[in-house]
Amino acid sequence: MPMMNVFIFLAGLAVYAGYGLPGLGYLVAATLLSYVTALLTPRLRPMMWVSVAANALMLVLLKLQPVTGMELISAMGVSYFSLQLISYNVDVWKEKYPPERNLYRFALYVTYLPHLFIGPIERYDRFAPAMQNRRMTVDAFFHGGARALWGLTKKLVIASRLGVIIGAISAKPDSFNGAYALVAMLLYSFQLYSDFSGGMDMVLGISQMLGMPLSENFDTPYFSRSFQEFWRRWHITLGSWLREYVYIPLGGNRKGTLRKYLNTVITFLVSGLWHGVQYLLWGLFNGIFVCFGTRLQTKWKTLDRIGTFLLISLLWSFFIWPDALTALKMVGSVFTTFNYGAFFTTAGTLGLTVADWIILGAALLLLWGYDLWHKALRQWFDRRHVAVRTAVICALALLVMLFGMYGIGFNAQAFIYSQF
Amino acid sequence: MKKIKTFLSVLAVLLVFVLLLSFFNRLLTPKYATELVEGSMIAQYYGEAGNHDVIFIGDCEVYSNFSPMEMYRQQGITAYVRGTSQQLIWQSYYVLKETLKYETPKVVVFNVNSMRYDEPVKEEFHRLTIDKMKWSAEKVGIINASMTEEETFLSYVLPILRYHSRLTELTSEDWEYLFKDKYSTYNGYLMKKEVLPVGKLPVKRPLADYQFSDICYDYLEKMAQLCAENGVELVLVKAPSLYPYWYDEYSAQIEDFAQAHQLRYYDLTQQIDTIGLDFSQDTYDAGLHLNLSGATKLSGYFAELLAENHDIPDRRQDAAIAAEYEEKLRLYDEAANGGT
Repeated sequence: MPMMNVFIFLAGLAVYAGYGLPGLGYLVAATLLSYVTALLTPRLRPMMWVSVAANALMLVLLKLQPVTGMELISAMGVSYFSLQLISYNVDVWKEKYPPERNLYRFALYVTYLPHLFIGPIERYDRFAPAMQNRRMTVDAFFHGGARALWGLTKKLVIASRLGVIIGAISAKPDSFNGAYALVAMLLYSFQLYSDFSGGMDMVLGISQMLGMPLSENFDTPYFSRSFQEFWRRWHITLGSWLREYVYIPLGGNRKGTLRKYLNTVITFLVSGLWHGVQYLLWGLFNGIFVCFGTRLQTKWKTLDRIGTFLLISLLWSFFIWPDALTALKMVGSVFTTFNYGAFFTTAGTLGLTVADWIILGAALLLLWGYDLWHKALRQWFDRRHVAVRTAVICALALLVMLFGMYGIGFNAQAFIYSQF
Repeated sequence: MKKIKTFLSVLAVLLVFVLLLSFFNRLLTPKYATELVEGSMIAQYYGEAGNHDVIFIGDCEVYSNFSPMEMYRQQGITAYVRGTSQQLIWQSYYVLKETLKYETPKVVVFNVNSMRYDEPVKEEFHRLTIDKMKWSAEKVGIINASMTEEETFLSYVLPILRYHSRLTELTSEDWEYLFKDKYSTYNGYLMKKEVLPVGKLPVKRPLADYQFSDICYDYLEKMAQLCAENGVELVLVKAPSLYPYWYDEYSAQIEDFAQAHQLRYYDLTQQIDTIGLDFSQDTYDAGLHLNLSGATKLSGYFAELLAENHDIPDRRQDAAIAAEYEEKLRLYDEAANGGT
């Protein structure tokens, strides 16, 4: 469907241009640089470094912006497409595949609208053939549509409601500490998951409707028994990118235990920096827990899962409060301020009504059930008669419209992970 | 055969979905029956459209201050008020345009108070004017002209997108008036009998700029043109009120516009004593709007002006109209003489 691909390509550029022409200019320049340097790499191998250095420099400058105060072009999704461009140039340099000669095909890889703003971070050797063989089918259309709506449900019914509570708690760290901080951390785990994986479901669902399967980014991460496992199941495409282009080039686990630990910590520091300079400490802690987390494992799976979830939740505190010091104070307050009674009497003042709490509870149960049985549910859905599938999609649409938190006075448009 | 069966079953599912969607759209949209009744004024007109000699267009100053029942009683004038809360001038234009599709009055009276507002005040006010409006090119126009940045056109097509949060706040009114409407005005006049005498008014401070915006002039021009095209006389009026202040500089600009377009302009803020208004008795909100007592005085005075200066006929001799208004006046008087 070449015409449809042209339309998708133009749509990507048009939407991107909507966020500002300087940003579009950067996207085009970065794409051209990566394309040209890759073409030259087989004959002039150091050319790879030109594109890698330029993309990495832009990313680092962007992430250090809060410290340097430097004015930079605001380019949406730069964190995602820069990593794609780096992976492409390195792969060509490693002769994993030849450089793409067709500029349009390469540009489509970068500007493909569904994954342009929040990933997943695709590799060119996976994307290009899939795009070439893209085929829209009724089954894929239904499956993708249902998935996209389920993602929207996660975003608008769960994440938006949780955002209200967490916003209320994080706005007053002096008074909302102890039990409030703990609740914020636990609920933020669900908010971030619903928001990011909901966004991914929308991206993957829409792409599937277009007949283009993208890489999965989540695999029920909160059922992990260790940090190592968690990072294999959370933001999978970033994790695999970091493993392949940071951890392994550093030596991976091939140079002894001490070096393996060091490489792991460095990789997670890079991950922290990718999220933003204020998340370096978060990256450091994650690196340490990945190195030593397995030693905390017991023979009880459920206990391991709960323990891992609690530790992960504590570390999300760096994302909840505006600076690392406040986040650490809040984590400390969980163990020093015992205001649990006060929390239960004031829970109603955290921005949600009783009805909202009930809707939230029901939706979280639904999320848990879906995550537990998602493979079976998807198979069940795919085997149903087209009328039943239509009914499921209609029910999901109605569910979002009725129980979503959106609209006037409530901005649920921005996905948390689009800011990184 | 199998394909037809599949097609029909999908169609049936979609039909159920559309029905459910319509049901929730209806259920969740405010009914404006017993609370915020201003939201039902636009719809009330559809059942009473046609055969009015005078149509009033404008904001709360028209539906609070001009009583068509009194105008009929005193001068035999048939009038209807198409006013809504905080009706902005671009909304007035589309309301007028829609009205002229239903009838061709002799005179359209436009209250110029909205000339001082060149941007939306609150999205909720748009809804009071637009929610119950019938779908037409005018409704599309009024939505596009009124939407704030945070609004979407789709939320007017599917009110569920705007009012979904009401699901947990539904009252008995929402169920009672799910499939029927309740109207509260008398030919568009919203009767208020309470008295809240005027107290100390804020100091009348000079403004840095009195100039009306271009956008307001554009729509006033459009209204004048629309009336001219339809052979309707446009009359400009500023209803009497003590506050917010209607500055002489405002009046001068309207006067200039009226002269340039050969229109009549009545600044009734200058006629308070002539009308006989007493703001210790004739207002329900300390000088902003008139109560029943004040509206009765003003309507009588203005009906006389219309009859004398604009040749509006006395319809009391028309048997059909007389019979219709006799019943309307009975209900009006019942309400006027009933409890507060």
